[in-house]
Amino acid sequence: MSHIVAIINQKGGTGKTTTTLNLGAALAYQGYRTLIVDLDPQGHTSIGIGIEPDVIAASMADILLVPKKRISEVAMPTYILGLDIAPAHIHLARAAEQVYTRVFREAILANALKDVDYDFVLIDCPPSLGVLTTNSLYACDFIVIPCQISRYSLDGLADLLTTVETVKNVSMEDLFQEDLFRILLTMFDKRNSITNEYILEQLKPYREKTFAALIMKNEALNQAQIAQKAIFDYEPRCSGSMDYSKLCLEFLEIWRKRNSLPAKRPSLQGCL
Amino acid sequence: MAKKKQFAGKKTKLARLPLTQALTSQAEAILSPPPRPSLSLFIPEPLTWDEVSSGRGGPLAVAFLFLVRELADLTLALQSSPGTVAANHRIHLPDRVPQPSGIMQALRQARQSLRDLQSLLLHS
Repeated sequence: MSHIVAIINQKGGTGKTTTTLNLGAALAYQGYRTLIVDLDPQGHTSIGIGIEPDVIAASMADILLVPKKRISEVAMPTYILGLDIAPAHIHLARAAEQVYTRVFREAILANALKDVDYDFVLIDCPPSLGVLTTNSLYACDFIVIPCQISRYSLDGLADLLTTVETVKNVSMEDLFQEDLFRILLTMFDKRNSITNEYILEQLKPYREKTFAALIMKNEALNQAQIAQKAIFDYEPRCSGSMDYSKLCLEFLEIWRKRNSLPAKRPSLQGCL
Repeated sequence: MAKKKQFAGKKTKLARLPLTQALTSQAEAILSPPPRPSLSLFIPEPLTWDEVSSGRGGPLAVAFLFLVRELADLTLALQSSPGTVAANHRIHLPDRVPQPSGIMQALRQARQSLRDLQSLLLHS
């Protein structure tokens, strides 16, 4: 059974795509077969891993539009061994509008993901709380919430938790107790001491649900997007690479505790 | 500092979330200091030994009582062992527990007595 993880925050620019791509790459380099589902019509995760939207034969738009279409029919390998992607195309935005009239529209992705053969499925969500994000929430069993150090990110986090409560049909307390989510602080700049202090204070009640790994602001992460590579392949020794390595290890540790995963597998490229 | 003052009273949506409020009060309950040990040792009216035995009076008084009882038992054992000349080594407890300063003085004396005993044993 695949473990399905949604990377969500309806606020834009919080690091969802960067996190999906680099966490996916890190998991693959750790030896876990991983699928990235690009559910953002902008298709940035697909582009970021070297898949040009204009050349793909099938995309997540087909999953939404064609009943009973399987993810395996649109998934394609990336340049990283063990990392596949179900790419997105701008058509996905139109497809999302068209499914509004369909019954059980929230379960389309969950159904398409049935029987996929991966260790992990990471879903990169669009910056909205529409039908695509609802599909991700319905399908996933764990949520990673990238959160920038800003006031609006905190507001977004509150809205998201309320939505999760509704879609997952669990109380806020259960959401907390059942270990369903983790907050990931991204683009952290230690020079912004006043903002950092305020935001961290606000997040204090969620310390237990916040990754210890912190993604520092790092220009190499932007440059890797241009190079269409995971950060480990673009600049393995930069802080972004280190931060995402730490995140991967912490993520796996949480996962082992939750699901009794086997011990760490040997790294394929030894970059972690 | 002036910048931070402008944050006062500004609540985020997250802070208003019922889950956040529940977690905050939970954390406050955990972090709030446990009930302080009885300060009765420091109040003018001294405690009885029974009150100290039942846990009132704090750790200092309990330690003192323990020490005195151990010494009393030791004295009794020495006096009752065969061949021992009965000596008048009875320990007289005061009627009431002394004030903390008195207890500290007694403990210091006990420590000094143990040092003297150790020195005596080494040279005997």
